[in-house]
Amino acid sequence: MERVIQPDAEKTASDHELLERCRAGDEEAFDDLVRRHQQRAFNVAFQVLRDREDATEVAQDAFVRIYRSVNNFRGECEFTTWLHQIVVNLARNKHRWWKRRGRQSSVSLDSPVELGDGEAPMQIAASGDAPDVETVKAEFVELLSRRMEELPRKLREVLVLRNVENLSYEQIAVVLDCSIGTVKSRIARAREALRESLQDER
Amino acid sequence: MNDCDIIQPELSAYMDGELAPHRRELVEAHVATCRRCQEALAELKTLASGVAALPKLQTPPQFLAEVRRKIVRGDNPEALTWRDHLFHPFWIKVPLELAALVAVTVFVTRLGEQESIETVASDQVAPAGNSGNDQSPPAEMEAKAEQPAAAEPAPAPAPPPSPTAATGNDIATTAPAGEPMPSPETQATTENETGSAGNVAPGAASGDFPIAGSQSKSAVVASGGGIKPALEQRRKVAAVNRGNVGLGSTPTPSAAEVVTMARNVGIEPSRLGGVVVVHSEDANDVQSRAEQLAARCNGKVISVSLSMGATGQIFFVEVPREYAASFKLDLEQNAATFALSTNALVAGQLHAVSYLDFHPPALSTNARGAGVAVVTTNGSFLSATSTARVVGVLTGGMEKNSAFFEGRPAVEPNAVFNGPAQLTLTNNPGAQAAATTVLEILVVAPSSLAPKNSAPVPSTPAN
Repeated sequence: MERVIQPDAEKTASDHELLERCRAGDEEAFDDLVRRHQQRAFNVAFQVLRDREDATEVAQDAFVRIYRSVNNFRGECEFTTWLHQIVVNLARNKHRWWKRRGRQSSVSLDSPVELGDGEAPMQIAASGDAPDVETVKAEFVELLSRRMEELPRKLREVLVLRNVENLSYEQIAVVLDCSIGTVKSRIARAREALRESLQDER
Repeated sequence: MNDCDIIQPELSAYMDGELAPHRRELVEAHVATCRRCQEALAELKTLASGVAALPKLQTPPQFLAEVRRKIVRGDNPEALTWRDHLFHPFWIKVPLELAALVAVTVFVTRLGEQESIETVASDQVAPAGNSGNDQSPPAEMEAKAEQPAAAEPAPAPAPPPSPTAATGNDIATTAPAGEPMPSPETQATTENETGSAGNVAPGAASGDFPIAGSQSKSAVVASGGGIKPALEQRRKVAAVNRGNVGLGSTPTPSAAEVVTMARNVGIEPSRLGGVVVVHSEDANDVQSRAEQLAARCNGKVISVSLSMGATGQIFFVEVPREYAASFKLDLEQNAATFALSTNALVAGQLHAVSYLDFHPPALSTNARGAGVAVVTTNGSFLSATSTARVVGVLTGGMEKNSAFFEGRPAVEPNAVFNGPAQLTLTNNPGAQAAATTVLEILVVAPSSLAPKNSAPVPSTPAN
């Protein structure tokens, strides 16, 4: 049975404090870290891989890796940056693995998601606009989602980290292990590619 | 290029708040007055918000439990691939790896250049089933060498002499299977350096005289004439021995060391005319035998004081050129292989074949010349399966097509040799005055493949 998380209790411990407790052998602290960041890890993996099963596996593996190397983390960056690094790397490996096997991952926004214990629909961020406006936005987002799939993985990564995870260019550079200039140009290229792709659609 | 072309590439970073202050001000000032850039910026914002609004999935409820299961199971999360380890980060590792690759390539190339000579030498050392009457050109020797003598056809008409043959001695050769045969290269060298008629080049007796069915511990004399050929030949000799006797691990002095040793004992390196490799456990014994042999042909042994750490055992022998071949044969063979019976019948046992143009055997009535004749202990031609043993060499040194040889055999068919003492230079007195050459005697430990026969010193050519 999973432990019930008390929001107040979560707030009392920073990521670094939880990490310290993990190093001391506190298994509950590790569980707290997982619960706190699993959605983030899963989202990044899913946006990069566009496959739910693979994203789940990658996100879980990321936490397994963290569990095993928690003593090696020196705290030179935020825990989330470290987590993003691991997730992106594992997602890259998974992406390459499928690419070598020629699989074209694709997911439809209309398709239900098998969760094992029932179906869950895709969740699209709601903005509170009128229904017709919402419909237009939903169509645009769906179109955008498909165009995102067509982007090269490297461009998709930076866009996800920037616009989904709201990381700064500097943080993205750390996660991707590249220069800030590379991040800047890669983001600009990704957006330009998306814009052109959407123009073709119109 | 107008302002928009400059500003628009900056709009993405501007929207993200990642521009430096002065650039941000420039972009702001331009966008405030440029409708086109305003639209581009608006498009970017729409895209960014659209990406931020991309559908998000909820993690499965068993997410944490599965993480725990993986930890307990000891799953190894998909680790970085070998590519990641090898190339990541690529801007650091790839240049380093390329530099390492270049270094390794250069090293291997240089190593290959060193080995190539030996490889060539090994490749050109053919197992020979050729008997003395083999009239194939040198290039074909290797192929023919695979055939047992018994299967060989009768001697074919001799091909026309090669242009170079006119000035060189004809060198007899015959070799059993598995024994080294001289390469065309070696032959060419021999030819060039044989020089005047009657002189048997030192090299003529090197690999040129493989020992048929011999239990010889192997010996090769390389042709000389200049330090470079001699040293190169030295390396070939090493290859020959490695390839045939399994002495790959035997340390031998390097060419540079030999040159130094020669200079230390007053020998001009350019006089080094070849290498005789003798397999023996006892270098002193070899030197003792060499002294006896040298004394019989007006030669002398020049000892070398090996420096500390020197590899191999070497000394030098200065002998008249025409005796180099005989000296080599005698030194290399043990008595068992040199058991020429007294009054051994030579008829049918004498083979004289030119390296250069492969004349018919000297015993044929129309033989036109033979530089060297190999004498065996029985009447059969040497072949891969022959039990015949080379017991000596006649270094007649007759100039090809000379009046002396024209139309007559080098040796009477039924001539009787009264022992190996007669195996000597008999027909070319002028050669007696030929210049001397210096042979390097390299003593290496016999390999397990070499016969362990320690027989008495063979007889030597009469002086």
